[in-house]
Amino acid sequence: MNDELSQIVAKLRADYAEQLPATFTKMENLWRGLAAEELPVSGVVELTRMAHSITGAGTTFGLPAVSRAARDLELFLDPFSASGRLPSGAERETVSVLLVALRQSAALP
Amino acid sequence: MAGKQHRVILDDDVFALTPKAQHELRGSATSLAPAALEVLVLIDGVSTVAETAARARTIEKDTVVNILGNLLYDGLIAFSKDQAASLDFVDFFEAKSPIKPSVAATAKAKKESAATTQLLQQQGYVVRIARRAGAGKTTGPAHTPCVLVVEDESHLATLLKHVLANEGFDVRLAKNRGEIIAELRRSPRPDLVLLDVTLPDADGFEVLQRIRQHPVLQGMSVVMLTAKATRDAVLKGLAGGADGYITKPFEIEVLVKAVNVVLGLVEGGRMVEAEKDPWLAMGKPPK
Repeated sequence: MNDELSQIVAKLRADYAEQLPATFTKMENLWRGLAAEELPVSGVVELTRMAHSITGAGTTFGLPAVSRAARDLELFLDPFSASGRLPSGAERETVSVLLVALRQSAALP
Repeated sequence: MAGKQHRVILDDDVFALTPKAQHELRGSATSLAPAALEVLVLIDGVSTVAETAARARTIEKDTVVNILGNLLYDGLIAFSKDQAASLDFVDFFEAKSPIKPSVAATAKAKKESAATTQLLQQQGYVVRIARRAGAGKTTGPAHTPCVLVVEDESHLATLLKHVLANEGFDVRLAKNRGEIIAELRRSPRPDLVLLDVTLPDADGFEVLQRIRQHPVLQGMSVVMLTAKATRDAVLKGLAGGADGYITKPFEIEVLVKAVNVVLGLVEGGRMVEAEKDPWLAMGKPPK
């Protein structure tokens, strides 16, 4: 990789890391709306998609812990996304925990 | 497609005269307005709308486009032969028949993807394979190979654009259905599509199937670049006709190698010789 490309990659990594907290906030707000049943169930698909996107991009931008945490959330949400059903009871608790873990993962190596 | 209806005219559209227009122009009298006549005589079956508008010196481009829409509606012009094939894009995502790989294709993919299966077993959810370009499936030295990156994550899309441009590729980006169709229609057509699976309004496997069914695009190289890394997903991609499958997260070197292998290129523009095993597994297993 030449110097110019290395600089571009470094800047993209920094930009990606910088926007992550805002993305986490979006996901948390979306989940709050879903858990309160104020948003349509289709929001689960969007939440899964957002997790999937971070799964794919995190490690590429030097954040493997974020990728792993996002994958955990994505794998948990996948069946709900496919069936169009909202998590209920303990399942909702799990989603909340996974979202907290996702946010915390940004501080991990 | 339905008969007479106004369509959006794009800069890249190419029109040809219909027999009706040729009759109109040969006749001693015409009912066409002077401006319409001026545009009609510029239609040559080769020039794009943008080029035609540039040659119509006395008429503004917007007016030329309106006139073309009316001429199309009146059956005086039609999309050129190549363009006609592209009309299938109107229904690109709305085919009535179910889109599923055939049983035979799935079986073939399972058989051919021994390397994939092995990788899945050895490395977990990591796949990096590419089908070596066969005879006649190369971009050749005549033009800069064009890669269409279909990716909705903006940082990844930007990264891929810079990485591939740095390797000498002409890179274009698309992040949703509309942009995919616009880029596939654009000339020159991409030599290779780097295709994400999970998009906001489209499924990459479906896009792959549409490409393989399209009369103009079916030979286009497609490499799946996705975090969908289950065995079923990989088989679905290969059975659908993907030329490569790389799971995210990916290594830049692996991605570049896959694109070169599928296009039959190596650094410096020399061709890769096809080997007995069409599939190439790339990169080292992750620790």
